[in-house]
Amino acid sequence: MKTTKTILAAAILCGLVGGCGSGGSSSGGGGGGLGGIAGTGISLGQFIPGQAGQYADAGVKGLSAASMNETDEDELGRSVAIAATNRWPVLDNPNLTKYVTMVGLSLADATGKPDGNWVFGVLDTPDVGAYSGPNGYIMVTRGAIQLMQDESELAGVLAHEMGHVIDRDGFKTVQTANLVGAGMEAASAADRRVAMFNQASDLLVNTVFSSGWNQGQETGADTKAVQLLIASGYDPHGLARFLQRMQAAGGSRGARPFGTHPGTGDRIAHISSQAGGRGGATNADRFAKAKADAKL
Amino acid sequence: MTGRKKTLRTIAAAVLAGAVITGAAFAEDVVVKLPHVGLLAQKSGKGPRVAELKDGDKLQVVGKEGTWLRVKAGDKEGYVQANSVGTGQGGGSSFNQMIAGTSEASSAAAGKGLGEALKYAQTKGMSTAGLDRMIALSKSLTPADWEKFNSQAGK
Repeated sequence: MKTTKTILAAAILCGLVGGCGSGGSSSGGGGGGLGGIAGTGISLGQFIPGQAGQYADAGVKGLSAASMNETDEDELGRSVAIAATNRWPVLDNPNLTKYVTMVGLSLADATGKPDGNWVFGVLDTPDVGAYSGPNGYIMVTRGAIQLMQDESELAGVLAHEMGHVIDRDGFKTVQTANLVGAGMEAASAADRRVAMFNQASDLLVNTVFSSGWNQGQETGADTKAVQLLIASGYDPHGLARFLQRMQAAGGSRGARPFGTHPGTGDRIAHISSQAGGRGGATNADRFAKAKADAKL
Repeated sequence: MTGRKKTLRTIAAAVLAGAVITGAAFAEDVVVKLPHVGLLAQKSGKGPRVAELKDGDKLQVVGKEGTWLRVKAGDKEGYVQANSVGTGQGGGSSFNQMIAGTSEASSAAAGKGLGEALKYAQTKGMSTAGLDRMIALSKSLTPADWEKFNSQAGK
């Protein structure tokens, strides 16, 4: 009975990994989940209960014979967040950060892991972007918030990043990379571990900030975003509106619509199609007040 | 004692016994299985976190409601998702599990990560101050913050 309950509980667990930035990398995306979020159609990350709660991705090789688990993913997420916060400072505005965090946590209920490690931050740069690291480290830039016009747009961007986390895109990128290179076999176990982790971090940081996710991953994150927005009562068209504005802004403000594959136009069409005729909250006044208070 | 009083006492005793049995069923120790888990004040992420739990933290289950567990962590009480906890030791790092037999492996067995990201940052000459600040800000929400946020919803 207890075992059954454990399996059932674990089957609902949502994998927390991801990262988002710009272009395109390997294939991946959703991953057939063992469970879903009722009413949203969200397919959750694979989590199979095993020793020490390890993720079991049987056909995914790399890093080592051992599967990575949640602790490793968290450390990788921290590496991405460290890289981001060394590239740009964290905005020194607690009220705006709290506001962004509350919008994000309002979406977290629909992920199935409201008690998860959701960390939200604002990066102090005029560049327009949003990024995420494994296990729930989500960052949006000041420039992106300046470009947004209501809370559903902010929620859409955060939800897109959370989609990468839910889909465990970062985890899959690292696992498929086969990081154990020639010559490493002779190194000590401790040196090998450090080297592998640093290689994994480098790969993920490069993916998030330079090469970007691939078409499947971006489309998957957009799909999750729309589902999270709908489940949370937000206007699901918010993300498409923001992408349109980014597209219009072009490169003049460093706007890169976090993903060059597929094209932004295709993404907007996909999101709009998914959102259909649904509406929802935009909380435009609350968003405007938060921006004004932060002098954005 | 009248027959009616006797019946009432019997019923009261049965109710009390039931409560004790139910309590005993929930009096289960579990361990946090994920690196970071929020102990929530309510069965939703849209509210304050009573405490931040980490992998290996011991909790006492005092109630079960759907996918939620009501748990005690020391003198604090709140909700976590049932799939965030388990029995036995914490998850630890599989990087460390690969090197069983070393001193570092014992830390993994204790359910602790070894701060690989910190070492990565040191290797790259990067500071963790920004991340630390981001985490501190993100986890500093108070009931008053949520009250204000919710009062402005729909506007």
